[in-house]
Amino acid sequence: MINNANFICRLQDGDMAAFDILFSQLNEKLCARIAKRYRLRYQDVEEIISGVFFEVHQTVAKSYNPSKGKLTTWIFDIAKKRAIDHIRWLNSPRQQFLSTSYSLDSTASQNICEVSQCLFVPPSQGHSGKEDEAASPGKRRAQRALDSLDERDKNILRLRQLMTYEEIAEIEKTPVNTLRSDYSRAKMRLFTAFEKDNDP
Amino acid sequence: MSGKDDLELSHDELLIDRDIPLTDAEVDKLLLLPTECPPGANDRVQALFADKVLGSVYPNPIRNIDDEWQFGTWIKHVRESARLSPRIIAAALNKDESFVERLEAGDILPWTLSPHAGASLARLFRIHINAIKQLVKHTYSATNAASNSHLGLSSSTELSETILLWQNALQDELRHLNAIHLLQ
Repeated sequence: MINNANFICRLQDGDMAAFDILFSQLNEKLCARIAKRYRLRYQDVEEIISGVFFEVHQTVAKSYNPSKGKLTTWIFDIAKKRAIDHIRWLNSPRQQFLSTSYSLDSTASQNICEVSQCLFVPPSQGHSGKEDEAASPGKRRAQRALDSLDERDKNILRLRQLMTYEEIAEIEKTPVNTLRSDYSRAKMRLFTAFEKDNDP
Repeated sequence: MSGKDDLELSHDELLIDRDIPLTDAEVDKLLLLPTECPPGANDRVQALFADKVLGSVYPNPIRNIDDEWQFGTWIKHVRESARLSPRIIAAALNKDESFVERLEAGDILPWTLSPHAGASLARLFRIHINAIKQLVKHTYSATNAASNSHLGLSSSTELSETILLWQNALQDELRHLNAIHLLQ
């Protein structure tokens, strides 16, 4: 039915009901295919497939040419390309860095002490300077990048893990906007240091 | 293609895989395979999709709305402009399709929504708090002119207070949802 010429005309004319049918018939198939083929987390698959439907919704009238193949093939091909693009994006250095940062954020929300011990141990409390052998390469790179920052940058990054800008502003007696800029710059320096570090 | 289905693809294989188009026969076979998705996956994909479409139509919060619009008719107008069905909007709001239809028809008035539902709607449609106040004011004027009795409120003063309380609760909820861009 989806590949029927009449249905395609409705879809290309912007018929919302036709799009609902397309969605209900293809969503699970696309999700299952991408999840199985590329072994992605389901959360990522949902993000990719929603993007695929967005692309179809926006471009089906202009970009889909029935003489080049079935509508379903065109859509599955978009899904395949977007899944591969997503994997390459996930594997980019920036994304590896952010995923390390994200794990810090979640640790922080669960246990503030753990974060301070894990990543922000003051030198006086015996940070050996040696890297944790058991840590993942990404985490070791993040740790080295953190170590390379000055105290003010480390401080704002550490505080931001634990508090809102408003709370930090109250303690530091600094305007919120200044804190936002400081945090953004510190994060950028951390990211730059992370990218420059090519050691495993 | 099928022989490698359960293997992890290397970077080079991914590049090659991207450049080889699927054929109709391959996709027809894929469509016949049984599928299994986690519960709620359909609704989540629809919600993400609706968010992407509305985000492309309104990249910035809507701050002003013409006098002619009431809450429900405005929602309907935006939804139709974005070519989204009530079902997709309902999934994005975690509600039934009938909820969207009643909202658009004016059977559900904005200030009778829970603050959470109101905030979800505001966030999805990128409506700034000032624009919500305008929409509520237009809707209030129209409904107040008709009658207050069907709202279950004894006077227009009581209704004004209800609306004010609702708007305050909505602002709190938007803050709670971290939708600060709709408040500043």
